[in-house]
Amino acid sequence: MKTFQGKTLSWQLREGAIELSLHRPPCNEIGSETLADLEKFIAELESLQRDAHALIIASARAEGFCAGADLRELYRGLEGLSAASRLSGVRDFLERIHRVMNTIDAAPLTTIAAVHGVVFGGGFELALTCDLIVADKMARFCFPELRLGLIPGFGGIPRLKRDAGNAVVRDLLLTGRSMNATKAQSVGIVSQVAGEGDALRVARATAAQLAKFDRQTAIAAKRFIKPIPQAELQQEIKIFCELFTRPAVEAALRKFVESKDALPYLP
Amino acid sequence: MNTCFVNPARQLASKGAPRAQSLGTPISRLAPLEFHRLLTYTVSDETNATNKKFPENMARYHPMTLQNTTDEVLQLASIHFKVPREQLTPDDDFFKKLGINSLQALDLLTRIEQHFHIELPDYELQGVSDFRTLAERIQSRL
Repeated sequence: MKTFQGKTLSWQLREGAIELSLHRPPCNEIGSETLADLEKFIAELESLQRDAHALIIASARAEGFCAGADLRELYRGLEGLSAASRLSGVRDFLERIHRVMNTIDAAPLTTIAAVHGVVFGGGFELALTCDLIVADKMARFCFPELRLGLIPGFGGIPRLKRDAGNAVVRDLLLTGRSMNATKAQSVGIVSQVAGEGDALRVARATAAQLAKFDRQTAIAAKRFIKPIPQAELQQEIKIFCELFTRPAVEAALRKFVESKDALPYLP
Repeated sequence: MNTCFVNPARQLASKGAPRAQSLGTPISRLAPLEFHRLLTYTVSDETNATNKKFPENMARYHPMTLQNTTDEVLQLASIHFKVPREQLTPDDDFFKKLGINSLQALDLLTRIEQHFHIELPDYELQGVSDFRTLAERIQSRL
């Protein structure tokens, strides 16, 4: 399918670039529907990439790129399940999302995340699968998972560690604070900062530049410089699942879902 | 006057602005008006003595009082959320007054960081909901 219009995302081929657009309200939270649509996308990717040299991932939601995992769905999904069933369900979800993330990460295309607004948790992790991140100047990046008694589970830590210094990973992970686009660029996470509302335009201009180069060379360069940290990704799933079985996680999820706080995302 | 004022003057001097020495006074002892003249000097002043540009980032070179900071935060909030400035006061609860949620508050945080050239971690905003306290947090980072 050259174009697709799903419940949570759509894609189209435009001037040699595949444009994957997230559009699930309120802010592209990644739940089972988004995961299913992403799986459709990676199933089609081999066919799509024959006619493309780049992949741009962006959001059509004004609120931002992606606010991360759908915690409300996760919390509801836990209700009435035994501890073993919960763990099995979470592990299955993580294995599936990792397959999606790894496929995008290793795709023989130059991949660009065009982000704005909220780039939190799983959204940040999705952006980190891309070769380049073009950020609107109002974008903010955050790993708030520790407030839930968890670590990022979609491959965020190994990928951030691959791209930035360990001190940056610790800062974002252990404080749970958010970082603006300029700061993210200064620590090497963001490739380009775009004006407000211009991230997609800048990403398209970058994709047009990439088209000038020999594709096989670009693929070889990417394979050389961007290894998939497989062992650490597996380790991340293991640690996430160990943490997930603790009662404190369910309590923290409940607190978040039922929170009336003005700033519920804060650790 | 603080020695941190030397840097902008040095930048301007490199663009042809009068050097502190040419004013006959060490830069650290310049009177506010003389210092302002040095800061606002532009190349076009050579041909148009009446052209006195006020730099957009002038606030960075003024001593920032809590009142200045509060005023600028109110101005930023007014522009970003399109609320008339006169409707906002320092003691307003910005969540209620602006009718914003936590994600929109993050936009205000980004505006603040850009405007004041600071980093303000979100946990510093825990429990903060009025403009004056927000300005105090900013002030502690300037």
